[in-house]
Amino acid sequence: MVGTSIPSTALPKAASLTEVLLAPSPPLVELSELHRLRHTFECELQMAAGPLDPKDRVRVDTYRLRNSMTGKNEADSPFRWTPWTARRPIGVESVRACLSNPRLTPVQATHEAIARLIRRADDERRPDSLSGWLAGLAIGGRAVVQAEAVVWTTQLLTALDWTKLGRPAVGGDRSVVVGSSGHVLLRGRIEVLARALSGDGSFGPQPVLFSMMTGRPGPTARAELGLTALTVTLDDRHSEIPLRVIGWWPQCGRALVVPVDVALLSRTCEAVVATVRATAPTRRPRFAEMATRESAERKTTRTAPRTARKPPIISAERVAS
Amino acid sequence: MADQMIAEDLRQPSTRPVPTTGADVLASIRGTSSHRPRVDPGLSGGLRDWLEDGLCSLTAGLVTPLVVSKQTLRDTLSDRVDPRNTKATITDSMALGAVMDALFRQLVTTGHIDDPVKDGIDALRVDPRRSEVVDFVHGLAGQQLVDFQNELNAQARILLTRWPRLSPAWLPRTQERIAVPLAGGDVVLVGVVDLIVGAPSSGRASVGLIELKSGRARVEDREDLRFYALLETLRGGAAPFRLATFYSRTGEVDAEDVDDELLTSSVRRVLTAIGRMVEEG
Repeated sequence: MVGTSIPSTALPKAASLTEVLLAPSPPLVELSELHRLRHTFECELQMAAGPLDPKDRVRVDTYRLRNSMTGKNEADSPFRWTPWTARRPIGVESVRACLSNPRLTPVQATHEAIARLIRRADDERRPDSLSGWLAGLAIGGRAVVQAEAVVWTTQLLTALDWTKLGRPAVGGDRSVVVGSSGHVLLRGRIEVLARALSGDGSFGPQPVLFSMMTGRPGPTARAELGLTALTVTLDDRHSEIPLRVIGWWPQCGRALVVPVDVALLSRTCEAVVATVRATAPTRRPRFAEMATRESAERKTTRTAPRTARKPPIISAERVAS
Repeated sequence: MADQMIAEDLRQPSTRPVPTTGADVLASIRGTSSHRPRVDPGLSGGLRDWLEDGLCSLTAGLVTPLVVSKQTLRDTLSDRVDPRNTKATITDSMALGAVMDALFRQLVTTGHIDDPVKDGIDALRVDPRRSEVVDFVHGLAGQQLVDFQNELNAQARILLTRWPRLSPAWLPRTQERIAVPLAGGDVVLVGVVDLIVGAPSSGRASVGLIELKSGRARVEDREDLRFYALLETLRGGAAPFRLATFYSRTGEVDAEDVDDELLTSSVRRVLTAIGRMVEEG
């Protein structure tokens, strides 16, 4: 079952997913290995982010990682709220509400979550916030937002057997600034963080992660899940290494179970470094000019321009294999 | 929305839908609870294997991924439209279908519709992918605009009077997307179901699929839902128990139970259509 889909014949799927998520396992990463990995990662990131302006920061999330690995390096379009982007924050709040009050349904929970956000808009006074955006929508627009959030909430609520999860944290995304320069921010998207069972059936200390994804698993799926695991691993506030991360694609009913080991973390680090390296010149167009000028000035030397030293972005196949 | 493209090519469904009250609609959607079969644990895998076997001889040389929707199936099998020409011009009936879909979604989710025209357009406006429909409706004028608004108001009234309020415990969710990759991702079967009710199966069929149609009833409407039943079976590992189409033009419902024969006929239809797509290049 590791690294594959959950068998479609196992019903209910929520029970299978929960069982796999919580299964006991010895730790797969030694602390000493993690320290070495972290040191190497920070050094490579430092070099990759070197051309950045000291005030710049690259945010590496699953979206950017996927685009980088698949060669889609077009300029980021500015974020805007849509029913599609709003459904997760509303959904997370709704799932929490449903878990604390089992009589609440997704339709009721999303209605209340949206009403709370709209009330909050008066205090926030920021038109670009979710609250401000929702407050500006007419009834028909809000209905679409709620409908999308209902779908998301229902998908997450029915994905797992919550009675078996102990005290799960819902929607605990992690953001970690890596390295001393502060240039790189990793963002891990986590729908559920729970604790794996220990051998005696009680909950142990090791976290296990569950991410609900969109569409269907692609060749970058393993790295995307690896980023989630890496972010938790590097978060100094908690100092814990997850045992596994499960990706769940409700649109196609597929799951990917990925144990968090050194190989996964190393490949994810490589992918992050490549993403930062690919981002730096596009964010700092002057760097390309600088490199070209530098190259022209040193025609007589054997020093290659810095852009030419950029290794290729890791192929999707390699990361997914 | 695209359901309306061939709305004027009318054929009656094999079983004529019957006019209904709200209670009747509810009864049609529920079917007979004693008919909810136990899930055959091998069915979903068997259907998938059948599709995979059929596709392995078809997908060589295919421009991938081949995305197969209910519309591409219909167009391919009826030879009416080149399925590769996916850019359709917006028509009155398409715009009406899009607005009615939005109103149905609003009614199921919030329980009310205040102003059909305004609510419907506001719903489409918030979704950037629907800007063409919004522009089309805003471009209507004179008698065409009056006819559009009259038809929309009439259908919204039928929806409000005939559509029952569903218990939130049924977990109603609207326009849920399904995408089933096959042949290593070279072929993707996709659908957006207007309404799904019921929790995922834990051993007995538990999910119902409902579509809203603003056009006249057609034979193909059942085929659309059977295709969605196949997608849900492949995705969830369990077949839905019931399929229903609600016609907002008349308030009629056409419903049927799901059985193995229905699903296998859908597999054959999908493979036939993909075979034709491959032949036609």
